Amino acid sequence: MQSTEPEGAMEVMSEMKCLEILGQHNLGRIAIVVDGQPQIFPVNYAVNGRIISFLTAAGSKLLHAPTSKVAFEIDQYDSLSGVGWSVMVQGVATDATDMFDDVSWAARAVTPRPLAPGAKPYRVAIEASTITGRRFRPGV
Amino acid sequence: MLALQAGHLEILGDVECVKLLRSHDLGRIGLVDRQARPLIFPVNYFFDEGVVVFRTAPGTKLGLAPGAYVSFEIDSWDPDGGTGWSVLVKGIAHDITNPRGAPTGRMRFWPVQPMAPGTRQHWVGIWANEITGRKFRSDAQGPRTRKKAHAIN
Repeated sequence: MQSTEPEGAMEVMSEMKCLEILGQHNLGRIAIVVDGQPQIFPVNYAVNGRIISFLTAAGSKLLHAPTSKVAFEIDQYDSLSGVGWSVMVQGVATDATDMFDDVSWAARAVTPRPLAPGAKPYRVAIEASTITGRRFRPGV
Repeated sequence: MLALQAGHLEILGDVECVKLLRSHDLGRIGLVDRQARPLIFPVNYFFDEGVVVFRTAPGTKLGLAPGAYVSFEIDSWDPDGGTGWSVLVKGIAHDITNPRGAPTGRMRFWPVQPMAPGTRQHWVGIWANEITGRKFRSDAQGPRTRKKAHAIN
């Protein structure tokens, strides 16, 4: 049964490391649950502390994300070095477009830059409750 | 395929979505846990015959995916060309580790190559019910833009 799988090391990253990596990137994916089924959409984001901020048009991301449980993920794989990592944030999304709570203010204090065209007048904040990440490298 | 005008967002047809799924091998699976919370995990996959196949070890994915409605997503962004696309597969996942017939038996020979270390003896297939995709050319780099768009590292 034991096999020819790649040998290497997989390690869990600390929350601090995950937050650092989140701050270095700006393209991730949000998962929302619509009628019991998860859906995944790429979004450009900015991070402020433990809050992920992104802009959206009125569409399924806005209709289903605020106020609901969501996941947000970034990952990267370098085919030359064989090093890969992924970070997942779980939390609650809220419509932060014009609310005056702390989370909404924090979400509006950073500037996500959407790459996809189209007006995106709404802002969504994901307040992280859980942040997990792992990275791996190939064996020798 | 991506001959698009700046600022243009376009729906991808089935043929294009399938072509993209067949020409990539790293995507993300979306699951829902017992508390109705969504989860996202990157997986290496192989796509054919309307089925996304990946391999996994016992754990969260194997615990939640079989029998469940799941999603699978691939995307790409080319900072030089300013173009991006994403494809979303919605479907039902089944554990095909012990094949029950010719189709699932055949899938066990598909070239699914996990890049992450560790033994992955369980095979899971996602039978697509719906495949959607879109592509765009960013207007963030267009002539009216003051700032150059961020490159994504």
